[in-house]
Parts: sequence; structure tokens; C-alpha cells
Amino acid sequence: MARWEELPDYEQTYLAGMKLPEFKEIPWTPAKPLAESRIALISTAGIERKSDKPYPFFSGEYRMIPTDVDPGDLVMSHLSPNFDRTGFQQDINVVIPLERLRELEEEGVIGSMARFHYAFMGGSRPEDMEPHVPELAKLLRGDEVDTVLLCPV
Amino acid sequence: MWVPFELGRPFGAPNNPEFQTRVLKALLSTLEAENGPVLADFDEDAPVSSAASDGDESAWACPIELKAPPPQADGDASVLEHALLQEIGQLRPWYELSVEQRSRTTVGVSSLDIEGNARYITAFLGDVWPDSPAEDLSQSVALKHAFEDLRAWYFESVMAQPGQATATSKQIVDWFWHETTAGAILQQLDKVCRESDDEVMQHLAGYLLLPRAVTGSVGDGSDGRANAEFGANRSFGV
Repeated sequence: MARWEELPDYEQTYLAGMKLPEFKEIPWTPAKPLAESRIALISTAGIERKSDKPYPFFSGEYRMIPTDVDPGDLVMSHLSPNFDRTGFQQDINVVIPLERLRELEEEGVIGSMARFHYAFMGGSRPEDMEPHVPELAKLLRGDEVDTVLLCPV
Repeated sequence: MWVPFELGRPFGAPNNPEFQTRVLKALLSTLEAENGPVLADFDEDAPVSSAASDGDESAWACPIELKAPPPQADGDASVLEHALLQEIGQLRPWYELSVEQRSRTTVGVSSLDIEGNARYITAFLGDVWPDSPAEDLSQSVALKHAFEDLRAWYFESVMAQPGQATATSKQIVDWFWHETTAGAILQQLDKVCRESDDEVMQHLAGYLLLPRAVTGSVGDGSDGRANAEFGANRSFGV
């Protein structure tokens, strides 16, 4: 999210009119110490491997990203034309910081990186993503992930 | 955690590991809170190029003088295709250099090569729309993928040229949409789709091709939701 005053008028108008979700409760779970945590990244940038099926229009599906993925194998097929692509084209870490997280693992700042990370196409409705979440939660548990960092685009 | 960066760059700045790490560590630090919810601000702006920080957005220009002027909106499809392929030929050495320098490309959403994408897109400006190039893709999805690859190909080409280090994303976007034949053709395609009888193509034009920076369209802010709602319970043949 950019600074409000730096957004052009048309973007301010658009964002100001968006309906915000309402939450009935606020769940809270204290996190394990970072140095003991196994961490996964979940992006909403609509990124996928070239061999993957691109996201169907408005799909709530997710795509798996191996932790050792070749950056040259990642593409972006997000539906929206309204956010920057040039950063991702220069460096995937500005969207999904796999290399930065690996460095923190090597330094002992975090316990470990998950074997797999995931991406959604953030232009879809949350209710279309929700049916996929239990499956994703099982995959994260199978990978012994303690903490997930959500990386919206 | 709120960050002040441009949309599309949640970790601030490409090719700046130190800054990206600061953002990531700030995000991780929110996990150390004993009570929640936690709402944190990362208040440090992303580093910008010297030209952009001086506010001199005119300092950057694509060094390549494109031979074909942007075609008129009522241009003939075959003429437009020729102009687009000619422009792609001019930029190709820079795209190849980009791939060589970065050992990667984000082009590859579509199954077509760049010339195939150019031909597929411009064919929609003719009298008969082309079939989808893939059996398992609808016309509209294939068109969106072709658009994604064409735009990525141009962006990567221009960013490989000398002087690209001072270019902001806005300058690159402005160049693409207002100074290239590709941008002019896509604006014409948007018009064709809007005027068609095809509901999905109309929607593609309304939300998914041209950025609001080009259309100036704002609506009341509900269009993001309307956009997603449009996709509910529809099959697009993917």
C-alpha cells in the first residue's frame, strides 16, 4: 500500500470506495521464537511457474512455489493491470523474498524456511479462495510450518 | 504491517537486498508481540533513483527511436500487425540482452512466442476474431495471456537499454502506453472489446487490459468487487 498522498486522484477514489471486510472475532496465537520457527511465504501476486497452468480468470486456486525455485521459472499472470510489474521483472524478491528469507535462515535469525511456498491471484474473491485453504493448511502442516508471512501485492 | 511502497513492490525496491531485509525483519518482529492484533507501520520510503528523487521525470526517455508511429485508431489490422512486428524487431536485441543479463524472463504466460502473441492480438482488430491458440483456453483468456507477455516483453526490453537505471515504473508504463505501437494497438483493442457483443470481452476491456492510469476511469471504488463478482460461477474454459 502506497502513501495515500502519493496516490493519484483516480486511485484514491477507487480505494476509498472499496468495501472493507468485517471480522466477528480476532484470533490470537503467540508465535514461537523466530529462531525456532519454520516459515513459509504466501503471495497474492498471481505468480506461478512457467510449467503451471495459469490461474483461471477470477480463480481462488493457489500455486505451489518450491523454496529452491529457479527465479527464471516464475511468471506473473495476475488479472489486474493496476500495479507495477517492473519491480518483479527485475528481482522476484521485491514480491516474494525467497533469497532474503534464506539468508535469515543461514544467519540463524529464523529456524528454517519451508520447503514450499504458495501464491494466490489476489484479484479473486476471498470466498473463492477459502475452499482451498483447508488443503493448503494440511500442506503447511505436512511441511511442519510454524508461521506464514502473507505478502500482498 | 503497512508499507509505503508502490503497489506491486511489497518489499520496497528491486535489487536492493539490504532494504528488502530491513522490511522482512520488521515484518518478522511483529511476531514477537505478546498480545494482538498487531498493526505496525514501516515508515521508511523505498530508495529511488537520483532522477526520480529530483522530481525530474523527464530525464528518462527510451533511447530507441521507434520507426513506426503509433497507428491511428481506425487502422487496418494487417497494417497494424506489420507495424507491431516491425517494432518488436527493433526492440528484440534489447530483449535478448535482458534475458542474457538476468538469466531470466517473466515472458512465458502464453504458449505463443512474441510474434505469435502480436499476431493473435492484432487479429482481434480485424473482421473475424481468431480462434484460441490452445484447445483448453477460451479466446478471452488466451488474449489476456498474450497481452501479459507482450507487455512484459516490452518492459524487459526497455529496461535493458542504457540509462534504464534512472527509469521509474511510471516512466516505463507511460512509454509503453503512449509511445509504442503496441500500446496504441492495445488501446484500440480495448475499444473493440468494449463495443463487442461478447460479455467476457467487454469485461476484459472494462477491468483487465488498460490500467486506470491510462483510462482515468475511477468508478466509485466498487469495481474491484464487481470485477471479482463477475468471475463467480463462470467458466472461462481454463
